[in-house]
Amino acid sequence: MKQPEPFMKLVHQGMILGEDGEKMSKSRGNVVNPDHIVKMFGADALRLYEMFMGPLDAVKPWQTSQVAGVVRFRDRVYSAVQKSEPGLPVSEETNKLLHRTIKKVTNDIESMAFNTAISQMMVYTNHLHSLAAVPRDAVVPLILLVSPFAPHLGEELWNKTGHEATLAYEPWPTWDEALCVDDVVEVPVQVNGKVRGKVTLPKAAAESDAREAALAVEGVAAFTTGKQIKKFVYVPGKIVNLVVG
Amino acid sequence: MSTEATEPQRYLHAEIEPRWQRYWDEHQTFLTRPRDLSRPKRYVLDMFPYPSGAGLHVGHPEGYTATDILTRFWRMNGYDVLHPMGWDAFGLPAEQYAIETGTHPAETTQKNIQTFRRQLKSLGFSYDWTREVDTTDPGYVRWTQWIFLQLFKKDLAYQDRVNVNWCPALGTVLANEEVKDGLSERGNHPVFRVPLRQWMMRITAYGDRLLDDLSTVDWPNGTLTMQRDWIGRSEGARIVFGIEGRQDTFEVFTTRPDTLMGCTYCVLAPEHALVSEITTADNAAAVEAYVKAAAGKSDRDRTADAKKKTGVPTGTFAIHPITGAKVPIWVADYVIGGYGTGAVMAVPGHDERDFEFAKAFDLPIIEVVSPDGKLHAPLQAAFVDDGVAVNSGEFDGLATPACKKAMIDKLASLEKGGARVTYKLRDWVFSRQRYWGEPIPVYFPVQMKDPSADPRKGAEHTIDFDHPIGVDESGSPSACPISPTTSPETTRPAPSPAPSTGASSRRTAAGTPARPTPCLSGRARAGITSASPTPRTQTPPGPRRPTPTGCLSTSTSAAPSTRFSTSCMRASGTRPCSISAM
Repeated sequence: MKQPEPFMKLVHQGMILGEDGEKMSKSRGNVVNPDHIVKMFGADALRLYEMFMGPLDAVKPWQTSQVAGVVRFRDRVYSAVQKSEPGLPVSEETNKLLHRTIKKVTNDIESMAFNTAISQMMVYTNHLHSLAAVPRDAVVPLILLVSPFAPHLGEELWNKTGHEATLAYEPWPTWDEALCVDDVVEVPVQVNGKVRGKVTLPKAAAESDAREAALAVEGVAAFTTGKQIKKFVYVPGKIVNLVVG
Repeated sequence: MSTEATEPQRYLHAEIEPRWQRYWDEHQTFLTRPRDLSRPKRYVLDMFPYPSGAGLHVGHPEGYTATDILTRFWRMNGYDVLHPMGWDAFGLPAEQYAIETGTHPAETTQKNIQTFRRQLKSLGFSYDWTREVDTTDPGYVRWTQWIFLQLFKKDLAYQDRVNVNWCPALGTVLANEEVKDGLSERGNHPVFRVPLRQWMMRITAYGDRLLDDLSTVDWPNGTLTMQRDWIGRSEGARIVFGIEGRQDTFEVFTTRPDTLMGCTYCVLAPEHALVSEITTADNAAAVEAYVKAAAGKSDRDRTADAKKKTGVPTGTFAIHPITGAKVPIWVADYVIGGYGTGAVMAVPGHDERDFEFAKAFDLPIIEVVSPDGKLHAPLQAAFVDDGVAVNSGEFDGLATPACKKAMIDKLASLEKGGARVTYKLRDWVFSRQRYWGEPIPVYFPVQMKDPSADPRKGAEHTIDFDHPIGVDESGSPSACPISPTTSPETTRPAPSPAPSTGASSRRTAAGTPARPTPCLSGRARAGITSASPTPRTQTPPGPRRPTPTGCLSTSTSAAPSTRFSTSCMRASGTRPCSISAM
């Protein structure tokens, strides 16, 4: 054996408590039967809900009322794909969000942060619904991304978008790192060593632009108005630092 | 296919989901594909569920969904993934259910497995169901037994008499976690601490490796701390105390040999073998009552209450190994028999528990370690830190680490002890007297007065526990509990060599016809389900309740001349014992 220990990484699954926040037990009458959830909401809803409840290793109470949230997500993925049209161009904005989504879902699965992977897919799905028309090319990767979480939904949509075989062995979507780089960043603005506000700047903003934008921030202006700026330091993407007197 | 943006259909889970589950089944979508060495591989194995009568609960799909996501993700990333499911299906509940209802555990188990399988399939997990395993399947038991035999051969599985939590009502030994205030968690039955012959796993042989390898793994910090505490490695000394008026001695382990000069009494655990022997007649009644009371407490209960100390004197004195002074020997349950040597040297000046005890029973307290080299008598509390030796004769003035070393050297030169590393980790009590479990594949010779008699019918016999004999691997699985509705011939898979070779040919192969032979016949199996040799026709028996001292043995009629016959011994009870705890 290459490794003396049987497994190198260990993750403890957090216990799911009853709706009352107590350990599920027959005597407390707070046991949730998965059959019931599958019947009412479906298997994909149960899978999505359990992954969306919180970090895998956290102890968390079951809340049937919260299942509706993932049911809505599932249905919105379904309807976004249904209304998608082949041949439409994918806008730059959509494409960037798509690539960030692919990157985040991939990394989150690898680190077993399933809840945040679902959040990111929710963000992307909401974005698709905000579009006047949904390009087919923007939904096909989403079908693949969602399929490990909601495999029935994935297969159904894969089939509906014209694919014959199962998607179980389809190549996982890849992302273009260049499309994932943030071109604007939020940087803190310090006045005499204290953070007084934040300013959103293009990553490559020139010093003069940064200075102008920083001084326009309300919280910063309160400390600089009528004073002499003795020193101005700008570290692009990191910080704006003002010394006034 | 609807690609129109008009009125999209809704996602009808009740129609869509079972349809895809059927598709996956029919197309064998998740059949493990033949290994392609050019592809990376992953083995994703869930903890097998125990197929309880209650069915799946929502905690199961949490972990199973997580691993299914990883499995599906890796498949789509080009990995060869092995993702099977199975059932950890031996256990107490099916056995209790059998006692209550008369339904054989094998039937209950299969019924529950059907439910679990249906439930898991309804959740769309991508298991390769052709690789499903059932730990109660004789074909699986065979390998469970094989592993046990490897451990047995390497002396890592052995028998010992140890104190266990015996629950007569449940007919089994319970884990500490299963006992609450002297009652079983399941059913609230009384539980007793009794010494029983048990199978043990020599996990202590791996103490250092278990500890050292923790530095190589990426586990949660809390788990690493628990593991280190559980292993509890400590360096110290063993010290031998003589007993006044007797030839025998007892041994203690201490991490603070430097405090030996402050030992003012010794304590034996109530389970210590010497207790009954050394107690004087005057103290016998009190000691006996105390030992009996301690037997009703779990180790956890005994050590939990740190402040309230109880104990009784034996009336006998130990001889201090350095000074030759007489120190009284007490019995107290804050010392646990299974930990260390089951005896401690008490140094009330420098150990909090000993200090409490000495205060409670007015025993002398001597300061032998001082923070500043000065004396502070009378001590208001135990001083447990390192310091400088005082009141310690030739050791006076030595700093604690140097004093430890000097004391160990001195003890070694006197042949009254020496350096020793110990672990809190104890060997694992492996036996759980279970009917519904894998028989341990080891036999014991049975001495018969009348070789033709049947020990199962009460004929006089002695079982030689000191000479365990592992079943020949080819004979495994030996004697699984079987359903009365299935005949032994059909439940038994063909081992290699074929079962038809029988006990006699195996004995010939071994070349020692007089040696005891494992009983592997259908008749032997019948003897496990009940004493009746006709399992096929008997009514569902419900497992018999064992007694801690009982045993069930089966003679091999093939060798009437032998002075031995074979005992199908299931640990120390009449039942097979489960090793499903693995």
